[in-house]
Amino acid sequence: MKILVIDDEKPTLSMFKLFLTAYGYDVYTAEDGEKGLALFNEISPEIVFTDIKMPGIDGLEVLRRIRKTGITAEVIIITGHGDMEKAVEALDLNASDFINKPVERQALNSALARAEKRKQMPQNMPFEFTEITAENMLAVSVKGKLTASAKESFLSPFKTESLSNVKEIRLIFDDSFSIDRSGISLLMEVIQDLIKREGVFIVMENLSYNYVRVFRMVGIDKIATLKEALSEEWIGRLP
Amino acid sequence: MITRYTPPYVQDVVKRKRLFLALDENFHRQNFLITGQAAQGKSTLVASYLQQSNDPVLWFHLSENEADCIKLSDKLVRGTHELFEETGEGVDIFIPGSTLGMEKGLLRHIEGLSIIFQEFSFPLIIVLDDFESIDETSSGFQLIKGILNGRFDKLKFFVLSRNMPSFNIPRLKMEHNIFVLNNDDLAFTLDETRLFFSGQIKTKTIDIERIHRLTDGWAGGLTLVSESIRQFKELQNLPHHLSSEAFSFFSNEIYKNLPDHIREFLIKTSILDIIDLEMVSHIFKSSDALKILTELEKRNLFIQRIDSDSRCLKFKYHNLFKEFLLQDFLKTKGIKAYKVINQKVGQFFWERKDHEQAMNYFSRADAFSDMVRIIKIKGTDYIVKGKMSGLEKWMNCLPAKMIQNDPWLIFFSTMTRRIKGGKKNIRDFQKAFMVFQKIHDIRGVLLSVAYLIEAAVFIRQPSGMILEWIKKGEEQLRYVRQKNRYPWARTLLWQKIGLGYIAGDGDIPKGVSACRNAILLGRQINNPALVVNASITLTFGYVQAGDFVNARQMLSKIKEITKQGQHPEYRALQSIVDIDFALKNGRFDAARELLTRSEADIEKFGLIFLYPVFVEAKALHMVYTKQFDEARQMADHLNDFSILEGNDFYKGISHRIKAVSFLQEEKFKDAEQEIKKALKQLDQARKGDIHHFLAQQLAGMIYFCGKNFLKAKNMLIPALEYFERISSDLCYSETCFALGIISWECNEPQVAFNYLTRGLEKAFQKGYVFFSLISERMLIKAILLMAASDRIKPFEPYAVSLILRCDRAEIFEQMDWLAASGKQGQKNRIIEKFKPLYKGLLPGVRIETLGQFNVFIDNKVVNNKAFEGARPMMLLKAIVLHGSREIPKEILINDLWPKATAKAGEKNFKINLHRLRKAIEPDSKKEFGYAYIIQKAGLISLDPELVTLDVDEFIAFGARAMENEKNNKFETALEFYTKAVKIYKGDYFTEEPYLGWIFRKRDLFKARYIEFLQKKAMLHEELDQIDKAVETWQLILEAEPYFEAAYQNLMILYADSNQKNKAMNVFQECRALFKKELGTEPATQTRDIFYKIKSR
Repeated sequence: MKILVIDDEKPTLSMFKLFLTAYGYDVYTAEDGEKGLALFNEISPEIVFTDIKMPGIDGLEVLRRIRKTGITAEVIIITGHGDMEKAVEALDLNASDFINKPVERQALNSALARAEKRKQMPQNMPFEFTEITAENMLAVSVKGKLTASAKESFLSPFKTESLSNVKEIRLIFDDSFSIDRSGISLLMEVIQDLIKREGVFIVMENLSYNYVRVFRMVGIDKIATLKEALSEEWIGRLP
Repeated sequence: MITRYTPPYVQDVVKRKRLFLALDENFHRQNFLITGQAAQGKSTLVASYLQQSNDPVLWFHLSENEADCIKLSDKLVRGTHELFEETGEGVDIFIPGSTLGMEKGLLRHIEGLSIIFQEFSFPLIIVLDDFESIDETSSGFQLIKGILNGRFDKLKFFVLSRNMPSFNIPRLKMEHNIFVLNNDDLAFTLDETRLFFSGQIKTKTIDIERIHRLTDGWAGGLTLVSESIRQFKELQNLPHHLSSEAFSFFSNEIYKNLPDHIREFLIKTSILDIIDLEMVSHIFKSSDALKILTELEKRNLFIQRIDSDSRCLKFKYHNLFKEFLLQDFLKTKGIKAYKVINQKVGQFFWERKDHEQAMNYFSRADAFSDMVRIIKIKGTDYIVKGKMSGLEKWMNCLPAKMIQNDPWLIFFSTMTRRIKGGKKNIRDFQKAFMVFQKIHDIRGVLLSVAYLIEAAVFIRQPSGMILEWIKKGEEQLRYVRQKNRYPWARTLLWQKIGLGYIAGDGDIPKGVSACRNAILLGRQINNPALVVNASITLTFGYVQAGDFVNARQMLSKIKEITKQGQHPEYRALQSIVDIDFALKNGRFDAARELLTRSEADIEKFGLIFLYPVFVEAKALHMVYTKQFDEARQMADHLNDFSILEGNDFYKGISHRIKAVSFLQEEKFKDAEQEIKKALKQLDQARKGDIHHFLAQQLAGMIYFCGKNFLKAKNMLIPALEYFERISSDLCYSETCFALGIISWECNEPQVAFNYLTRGLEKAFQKGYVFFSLISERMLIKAILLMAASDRIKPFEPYAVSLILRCDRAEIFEQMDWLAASGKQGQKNRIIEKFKPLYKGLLPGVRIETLGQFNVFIDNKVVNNKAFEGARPMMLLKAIVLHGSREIPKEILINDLWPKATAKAGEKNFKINLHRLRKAIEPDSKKEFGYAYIIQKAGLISLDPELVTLDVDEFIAFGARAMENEKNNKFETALEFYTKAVKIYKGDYFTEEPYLGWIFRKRDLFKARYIEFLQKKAMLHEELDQIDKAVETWQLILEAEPYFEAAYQNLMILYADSNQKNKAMNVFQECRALFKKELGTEPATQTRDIFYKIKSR
């Protein structure tokens, strides 16, 4: 599988190249956005890592232009500490994921695993969910992209009448799940409302390593429990 | 000897004179590309052309199998190896696999083959036939492209292809490195077509021009026409145009007219790549195979004899013909029959123990169970020999289902994507391991766990997981050792455990121990590849531990086993060790070059494990070259690497680099903060001790600079003991210096001198000139303290050389400070002890007397104005003229002021001596007095250590030249004569022509000058250096125009080099000069030479 890494720091490029080659990928590197885009058009990589801050064309612009080409690629944005706003902007541009500098191995592995899984899935999956009910519990499996436009659909399982006797809500995020700024706001709004209205306990499961970090940064961890793992009880029960 | 790489046998072919001539004219080039459509006569041309050559030829028949660079490389290496066996030249042919990085097969193989090819001591021609079978996007194609771009003194490559390969032909042509013959060049001309048909029946009656027109000179077409004429006795059924596309149609016409048994023979044997007579008669029970084949060969009918050894004749059908026959086979007999015959052939080869060939045919027969049987027997052999491409080829033929349930097949299949398979490999090796364990297959367990550890290390699995597999491996080894079985698998496992500990878990001592076990076992089973791999892993462990002494020793051992340069790992490790050495010696330019080289190897070959060590070396280079901010950025990058790797060790190193950069920048607070972090991170127990004690040493230095002497001592004393124990001499010296200065500051002079003596003694023994952690100030202080306490004598020249590299103002400042800090009455004694060092710091003075009188200080001429008048200069001249040593001042006074009274003379002398000394030594230090001109007890001398005279050098060089000449070392003698005569720039004291008492000396030096020149000229003659001899004799005449021997020699030299006129002119010049100036004729001998030349 071809991976393109775009970063203006040569040592970072060398390091990525060595690691990703060891992982078994064909790695291509570019020292700026312009060269990166040219290489992207030439080799059509399956995955792209791009630094967000670069002189000339920055990472967001790279992402924007890649999306314009119509070539499908999983784009992972490399952000510095405190680049939260930019990271969310990247999600708005349909970035597959983002990882913080300095890059931790778990973050890299998680981003790669997610990108590889997403490659296997159909593009632009619409938001959809499935409800599974259990004793005192409602589980909602979430797939596709969550944006403000999915509000009505997203709210439907949480109507008061369907939550009688429910003490715990589990949101189970499928590998195809993605979100943008408006989706994050919607999620926050829904969770806050549920807690206030119904007094339920909320658990979010099967989140990618990097989504856990996004949700922590926006404060969702203060109102819900975030879990990377998927509880064993769901294995085989999810659609 | 005939091998499978011998050129095909060609007979009775038309000699293509014009093409031979073109090849001859371009034979100086390295690469030859011969392209043309099928059956255009490429192989025939090259084979018949090379028949004339005496140089050995390796002829490789390529197929699509060789699209893989490893397979192609294997094939080339095998051919080369057979050739070496034949020539008896022992060249180590071994392209190593990866030890510390990604496979990067293509690059390794281009480099490996290039090294092999460069080492050829005899000419060799390599022919790559059927090159079109190799896909242009394949690594095999890239391999050849890479090789052809190289330069090999002894090699020529002929590439034969149906298509024009996408080599960079214009560039190769521009570099005069390729000669191309294309389809049009190869096409037979009308004359060649006539020649082709000459001697055939009815030649006169056939229309050669028509045939030529129809075939466009296509060799295949000519053969078909010729065959048609032979069969039908006339030209019939000729299509309008004959090209390779019409081959099927036309050959069918001929083929269907062949007798049935021949047709049967042809289609059956078309399944064979090589038609081996023994096999043919065994399988097809064909008794007239030889007759059929030789007949076809005789008729040049698309068959080549590729092995003419009469005991086992071998043939090969032309690809076009083979394809045609195979199609007929499938059409008439069906796929089942095709498989049956292939299986029979496979069985034949297997019985003949040629498993490669057997597998080839079994795979065509889809005889999977036969294949599996062979893979299980031979699979490990492929791994042992590192020929994974061969294994891959067979594994790829097997159905996936068959592989899934067999541990050995899972293992071999995973091995074919070793390293490059990434995470998938862990899953599959693990699967194989579980099954092996279940069925108690010990060998399988050992191998699968070994490669499992390797895979886990390469894809940077958490150390806990790697450790888990290491433990399993160790457990198995304990179990097997008692039985003393599977030595190869055990050696491999020890090496992988070593790698796991060093690169995966970070436990270097355990890794080193495992690698030693592997080396020991590898030697016992005499497997150099395993020994090299284990040695490289061990060296890597030493480098990781910062133990460069042991790393260097290991590298020299590796070099003994394998050829330097064949292992990228070896080269990169060697560079890193050399960088360390260069940095320790202050050779920063050399270190920078090595860093560049090392970085290139690490990137090119993906040597991920060496990357952090390289970053550390690069950061240190930046620190020592005072690029502090950049150094800290590098340290941050190392920290990033550490985070990505999930390994705290490099974090510690990163902090240490930052600490040393802050120390060098004299930001002690920041340095202290960083070194505390470093000490915390560098776990002494797991990573070995070196990094820990290096951090402790640095901490000691930082505390010392912060004047916290007690803390500094507490850090440095254990570090010193450690460095002494492991013979880390530079660190030992540095720590001694630091402890010496600290003890001095703590008012413990005896302890201080003890440390300083130990430090200086070690530094002197090792010849260290750069101490990265010792500031210039500290070094000066250490040396001055040693000098002041009279302990420097044994190392004085070395200490002077060290101190000379320091800032002089700083030295003098410290000398003043130390002298002033001495007790009453000690000051003068200290000054006296500093004198030798002081003298060592002064620049040398050189006085030229041969030619214009000049005084040079530090190689710069002193301006006359500096002397404040003519008298001080005259005084210096007088000192020199009187021999420079111990001249009573009265003599000098008498020379310069002969008419002055004694008092006035004395006064003049004092004033002018003072001026002279000031001119030569303007910045003299009062307490040390004037150094160059010494006045002692009324005797004046020039200091012989500080002042040199050109005449002394002139005589010394002349003496050395004569000594060498006497010992027949003519070249060295000439060097010294040249140096001597260069010093002589004119008469001795040429500006003082009237000082009668120096005439004798002046004549003496001139005579020596002429003597040296004469000897020099004669040596040039002896060595046939005619121009230089002429030049030298002319120099003699410039200095001494009446030196008749010079004229005589010049005449002879000119005459002997066919310059008769010049010789005659020399005589005329001599005669005119002698007549005009001396009123005489040249001597009889001179005249005789003249007449002799004249009469020639």
